[in-house]
Amino acid sequence: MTTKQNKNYVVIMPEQLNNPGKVVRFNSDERQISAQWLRRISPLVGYSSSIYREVEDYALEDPFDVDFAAWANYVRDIAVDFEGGVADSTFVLEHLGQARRRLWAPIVDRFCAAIREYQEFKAERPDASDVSQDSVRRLLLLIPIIANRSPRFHVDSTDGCFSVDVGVGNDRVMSVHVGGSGHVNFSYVGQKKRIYRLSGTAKFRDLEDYEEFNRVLRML
Amino acid sequence: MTEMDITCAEITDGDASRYIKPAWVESGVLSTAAFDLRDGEPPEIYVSHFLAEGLTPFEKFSDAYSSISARIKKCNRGGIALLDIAEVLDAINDDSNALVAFREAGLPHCGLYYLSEMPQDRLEVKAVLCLIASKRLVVAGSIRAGEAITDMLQSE
Repeated sequence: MTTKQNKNYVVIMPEQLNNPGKVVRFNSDERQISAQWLRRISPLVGYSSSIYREVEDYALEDPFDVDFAAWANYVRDIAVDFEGGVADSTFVLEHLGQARRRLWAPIVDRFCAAIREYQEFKAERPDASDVSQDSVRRLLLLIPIIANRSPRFHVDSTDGCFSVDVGVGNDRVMSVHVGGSGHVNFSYVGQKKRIYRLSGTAKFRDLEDYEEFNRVLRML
Repeated sequence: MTEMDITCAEITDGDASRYIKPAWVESGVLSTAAFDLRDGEPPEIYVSHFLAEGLTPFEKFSDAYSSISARIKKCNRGGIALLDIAEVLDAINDDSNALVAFREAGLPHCGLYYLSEMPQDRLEVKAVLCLIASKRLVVAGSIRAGEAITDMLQSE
């Protein structure tokens, strides 16, 4: 195993991917490969031998292990401006390292596609609400938290804010509405004998505190 | 909501069909966007559905296809969901707090009305609608072809 000097990088050899408990070097620290971490990176590296070869060539960072304070600072400074369109999704991706970029790129693309779709709708109905730039910023904050939950985005024309549906499995739906003023409404619906609902509202006054939304997702 | 809308007869049973745009299904999951009201001038006041008649699921989907294809020319590319109206009302409305209603809008056209303006209520209702609609959601083109109807979520 080799370790790059870059912060947050670790190289994992193929045989280690099926070996939870193995201790590897990570940023000069020793780090144990947990089964949970392997599951989290599995969308990135897969478990096929063909992917293993690729992994050998890549320095692999943990795509979900984000310094949230730094991320919040970055998002706080992003210029959210749709005047020129949103075709260029790199405004988010530039910040990301290679592994995160590979995992998050489809998510950011979906996010931008949702905005484009809404703009097409708005071209037909000019009186519809504008996309809430505050909602965009707050949604970006949530990306590290929802990245591994197959998020699907759309803009709600009644208020211009984003809704996100996150994958939670069969017979279950979770929808999150990201308001522009710090409110995050969520509703988790499933069916056992009958349909049940778990719903609530989170309120975050500081962008950095959005990390705590993870607590809601952990309940599911 | 106008007075005329309020006085439209309520529907409490039967099957309501809804056209599902291809963009509303991603990775085998139906988006809650399928039940959004669209803002604009004038803003939509209900989510459009068509009552579907028939004894068998295929007859109901065929009836729904007839109604929807008459209004949406390219509907074959999308899907059609059937919602059991009684199931929807039972799952969403409480005795003391009704959140949705189906009302006639020139039958077989009918509308699903949101009775609460609260974003939290709307979110919850749309999530329930998604769950119910996902149970019976087929590719519209497969109905037209008269073949075995294809589950839209499975075909993704």
